[in-house]
Amino acid sequence: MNVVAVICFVFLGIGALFTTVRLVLGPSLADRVVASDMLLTFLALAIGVQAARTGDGLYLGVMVVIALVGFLGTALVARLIERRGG
Amino acid sequence: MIGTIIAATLLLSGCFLAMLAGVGILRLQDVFGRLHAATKPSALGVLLVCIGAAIVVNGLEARTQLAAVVLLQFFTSPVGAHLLGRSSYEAGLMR
Repeated sequence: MNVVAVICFVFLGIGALFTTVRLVLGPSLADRVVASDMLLTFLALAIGVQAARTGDGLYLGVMVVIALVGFLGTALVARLIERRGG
Repeated sequence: MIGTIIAATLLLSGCFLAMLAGVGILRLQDVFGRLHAATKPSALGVLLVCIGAAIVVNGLEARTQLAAVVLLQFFTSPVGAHLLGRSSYEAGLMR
């Protein structure tokens, strides 16, 4: 399980690197919001992999909080884009 | 043993899907393509990783939290993507 967790972390790291490039480059505000929401998803996935690696669910509460807060941030910035323009 | 193999397969496929979403966010051309690439792993990837973690993790409390994460992501991820897509369409980001 340890080797599998390391491979999963490598996958997540590569994906988060690409997403960070888009977060820096992204021409409009909506691109940056998509990228930052995706970074939160990567964090949630990494917490899940870590829980599977160690076998105890110490940090799974953080995963629940990320699933809630990510949606709230996306909805609020969508409202902001609708009012102000991209 | 067989449970560990199934869990490892689920974790690997979920994380590989997330990496493909990162590639899609970097490579696709406009906001809607990037949104399309980003929404898949926040539903399916989280589902796969949570099932894989729920097989090997200890305790009912951790499994309940994983189920709560899956439910929350399945309800909020399409709604958030729809909100963002609609508002960026109305803001004129369509090419």
